[in-house]
Amino acid sequence: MNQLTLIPILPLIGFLVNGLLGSRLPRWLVSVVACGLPALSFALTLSLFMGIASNGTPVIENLFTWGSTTGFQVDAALYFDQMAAVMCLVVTGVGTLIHIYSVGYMSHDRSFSRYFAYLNLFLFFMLMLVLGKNILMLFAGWEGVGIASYLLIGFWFEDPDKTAAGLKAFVVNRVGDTAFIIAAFLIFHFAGTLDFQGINAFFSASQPSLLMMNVIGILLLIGACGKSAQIPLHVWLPDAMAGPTPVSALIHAATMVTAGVYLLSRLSGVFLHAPGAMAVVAWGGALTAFLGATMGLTQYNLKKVLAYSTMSQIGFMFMACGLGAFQVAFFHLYTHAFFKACLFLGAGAVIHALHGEEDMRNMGALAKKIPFSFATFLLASLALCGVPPFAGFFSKDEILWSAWSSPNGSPVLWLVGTVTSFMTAFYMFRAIFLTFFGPCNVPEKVKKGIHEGPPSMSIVLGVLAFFSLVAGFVGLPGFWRELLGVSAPFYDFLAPVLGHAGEGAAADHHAEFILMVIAVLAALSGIFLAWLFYSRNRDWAVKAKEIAGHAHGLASRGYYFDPLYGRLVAAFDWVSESLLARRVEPAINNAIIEKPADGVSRTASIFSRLQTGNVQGYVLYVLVGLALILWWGVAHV
Amino acid sequence: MSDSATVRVQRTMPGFGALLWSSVFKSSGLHRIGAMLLMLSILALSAGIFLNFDGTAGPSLMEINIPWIDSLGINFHLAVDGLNVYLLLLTAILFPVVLACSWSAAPSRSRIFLALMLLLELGLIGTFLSQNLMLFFIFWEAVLIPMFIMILVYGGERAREAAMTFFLYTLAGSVLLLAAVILLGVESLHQTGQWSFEFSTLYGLQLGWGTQLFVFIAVVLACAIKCPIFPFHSWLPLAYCEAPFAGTALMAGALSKMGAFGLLKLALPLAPQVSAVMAPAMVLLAVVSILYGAVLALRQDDFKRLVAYSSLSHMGYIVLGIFSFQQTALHGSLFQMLSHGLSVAGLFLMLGLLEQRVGASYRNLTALAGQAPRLAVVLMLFILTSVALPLTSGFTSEFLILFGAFQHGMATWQAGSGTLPLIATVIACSGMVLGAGYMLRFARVILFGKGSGLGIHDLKPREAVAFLPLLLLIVWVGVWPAPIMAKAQAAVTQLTAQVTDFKHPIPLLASPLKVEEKVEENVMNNGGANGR
Repeated sequence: MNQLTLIPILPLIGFLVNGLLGSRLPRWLVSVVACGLPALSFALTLSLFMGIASNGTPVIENLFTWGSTTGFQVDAALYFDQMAAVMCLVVTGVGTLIHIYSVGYMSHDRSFSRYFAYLNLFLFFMLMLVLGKNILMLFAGWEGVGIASYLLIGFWFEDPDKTAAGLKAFVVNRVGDTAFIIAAFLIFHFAGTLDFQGINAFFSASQPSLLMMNVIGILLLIGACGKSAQIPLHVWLPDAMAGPTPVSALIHAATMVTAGVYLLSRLSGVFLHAPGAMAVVAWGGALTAFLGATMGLTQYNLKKVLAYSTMSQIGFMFMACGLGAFQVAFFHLYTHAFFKACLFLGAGAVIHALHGEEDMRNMGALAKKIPFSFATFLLASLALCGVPPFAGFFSKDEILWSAWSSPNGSPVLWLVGTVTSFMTAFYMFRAIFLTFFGPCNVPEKVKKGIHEGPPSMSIVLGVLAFFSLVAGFVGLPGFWRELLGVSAPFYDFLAPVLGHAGEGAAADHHAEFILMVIAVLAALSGIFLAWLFYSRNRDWAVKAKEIAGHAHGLASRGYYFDPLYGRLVAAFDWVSESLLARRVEPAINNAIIEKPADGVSRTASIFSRLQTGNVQGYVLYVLVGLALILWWGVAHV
Repeated sequence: MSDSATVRVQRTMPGFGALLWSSVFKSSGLHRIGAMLLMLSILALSAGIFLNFDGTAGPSLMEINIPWIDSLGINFHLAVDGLNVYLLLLTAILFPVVLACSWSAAPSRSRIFLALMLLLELGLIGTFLSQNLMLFFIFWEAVLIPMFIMILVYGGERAREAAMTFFLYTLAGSVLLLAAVILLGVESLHQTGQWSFEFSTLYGLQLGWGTQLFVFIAVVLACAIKCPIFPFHSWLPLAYCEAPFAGTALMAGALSKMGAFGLLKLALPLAPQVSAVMAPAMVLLAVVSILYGAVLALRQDDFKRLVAYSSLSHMGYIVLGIFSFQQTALHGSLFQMLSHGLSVAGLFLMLGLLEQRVGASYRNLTALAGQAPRLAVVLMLFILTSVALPLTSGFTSEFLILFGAFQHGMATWQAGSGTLPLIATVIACSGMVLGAGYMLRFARVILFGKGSGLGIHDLKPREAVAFLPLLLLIVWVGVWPAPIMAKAQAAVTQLTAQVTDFKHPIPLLASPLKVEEKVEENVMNNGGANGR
């Protein structure tokens, strides 16, 4: 078994050990197994990454033939190229950190080993998704992370709301998965293979009709929307916050939800020949980015603010994909993983300190009580808002620049993106001022117990905050590159897979600089306004809410997507219960069982009437019979 | 290898007889153990056959062929081939598992019940292995009797009604099948000069349109009721709910596969032209079954009814795969027979275990995850198989079926022969969403929530061991189906060839001299058969 195979297998072993024996093992051993094996995976990934960084050749591992028949063969094979390398580093790296954090966070939980078993299972499926060489492998991981997410959202299964949230997440994801699998069938119909390299090669050489390409693209997009919580399949993500906070950080922020972006980039060969679908990806992404941010403005639950923010940021990544700038989307994916994980874990530290309180109205003035958590949260927020020189600035700015300059881009798209980053800054600092400053609304009883988390939590926060600060320097914008005379190792590394397409007219640094300044100003003004509304004059916020009126109501209720889907589910239930169970089933039963049964008994009663017991009658029947036979004989002579 | 395998098959049948004898007449309390040992030895034989069977070997290697009624061409001819090798394994696994799960239940202590189970196993294996149509029919009908008695004697409150409905309904479906069997024998007499019911002979006959149509209708009616598929499923919820849980698990796990197997073994090869023409209609019925069962399962409070309707939905996939005439889809259908047999039997056994523990109030059970974690995990695995999660057999089979059906649909559409198969397949894909919906709702109700403190006992080691083979097979098919697919490959290739070769206009015209004569015969025979 070689290195590449071990990367996903190690977490699987962790899952089996903790899942089967965990309840009998001491906690320290459970933690060592659960954190140690992903850490080993990370080390292996790192060594493979070194290899690919130096020689540039992808690593391929054919494990076995999954299934084959005439005209159909799928191999269980792993593929480690530049794109997979980046994803793999993020998944195992951030994943390991969050495992370590969880040791502290979940230390009081009864089902300690079950939690880590699920978390390792998630890593196994996520690595399968990332490393799969063909659509089937990716799909297996894709659904697998769905089930891991289902199990972790409903981890505290005694609470019916939490299990409902898990159910919702899985079913909504399944809607997307169905579209995805149909897209896979269509791709096979044309390309005759499910292998990614084969597919991309086929579609770059010859395409079926434009309509078909767009249909495939849209179906793939629907699949990606389900997993990545894009409108209209985003409704599960806010509910998914029911799970433990480290889970939200790992699955619903850093890794799983970005799988949609990975899928789009993996099949970039298909999308580049489906301009219609690309436009839908770009505009759909922009719409999600914008609406997600507006919803984030109105939330009081700290985790939900972050959830909508995640949705909005992935919208940015989709926008970049739709513009053909896959490598830029990937860059944002990579920086986002650090600062969003840091934010969620910071929120986790706050929630941990307040013993489960998530409503920001019951927080306040925590900056002095938990200064370290606050500092990391602030750093990560600045990164998210796009303030230079934090990581998010470089990636988000590059997306906005693509929106302006790429051939498929437009100023409107850029404007939507800029307004969104203004709102992002506003809602993040609204959260900061409500949580860490102002009057303290924490109940007296809880107040005394406020404390920083154990070292395992703080160290992880520190590491992630550090990366939120520096991760962006590997992908400097073209303008800076020229100014400083350096290259952008991140883009160069990905270039063999994703190329430099859509990076925009590199020559026009003048415009790039102006747009950059505007974006930074937008972010800073967002922060300033948040300070004005939530720190200086809190009553302004109340007034602003009144002025916004219906718009505020609309956004805070998530634009009524949930009631709409609720209706749909209710319609299915109605069909099931009132129509099929009460009307159709009895009718079929009647037509197929009771009617024929009645018919049989009626016929029987006619014949039974002939059985009179009267001998003269029987003689008569015999005579009639004889006469008929005679007549038949005569007629046929 | 071949010799030992032959011997194994030959030993299987007499072994049955001996053990039936001992289990019925032995007066000591060892009959339960005796029955179990017998079932396990059958399992060992079948597993050996399954592992040794490599698909490329002709059917002659693992067969017994004893003339029975020579003058009528009825032989006691059993053989393992690519179509029945999965089902042999499935049947052989299910019986000991079911017995182990109902080990301490009241019926298992009675010798009659054990004898009925063994008879049932005999009938099922006989049906699957028959290479002679008449023998097939005899086994097919023989299965009904033990099942009927099992429901009637050991069933619930409405056992009598359920048993009668089940028996009469399935019997009525088979009456026409007998006519078709005889008709085929007569055809063989006309065309080859002697009576024969051997499948190998019958597959070689040149059947006219009318004969094919009659055979097709008879077979499909019988099979559609056995499976069941919409709208012939009315007996299903009642029978599944009222039978003792061991019976339900066997009925849903193994008996229902007879219907699907009949379609593969009889309908497609014997009536290829009619099958090709009727395929869109069958696909439509299949898709309606998938959705109808799934939607009904969404709102069932009674767990057994819920699983019963889910079973209807899953059987629809099998039929969809069969009538797509596509190799991948056929492989999928074969896998789905195996997979559904494993998962649905597992689910019913789980419900049975709960019923054993708390009686009729198992319907109100909730929060098992907190009270009986091992039981909850096993139940969840069966649920996930039913949801068709990747790495379980459910995914392998549903993926292959939908994949094949879709490719067939695209090909049909591009050949200009209508979009119905394509649209039907796309609609069938939505069963994935509904399946997740009803199964996970079920999981949420029964597994999750706050404990009611009823004190459910967790799985005992005996029960846990019993479920192990089911789960292992589920994972094997889910993770690495290729070696199993290879066993069926030859049969699947042959089957698709049988159907697609006939897709082109009537082959009878190839020999113009015989046309007149044959058409006349067919009309005559057809009339004759209808008259019976």
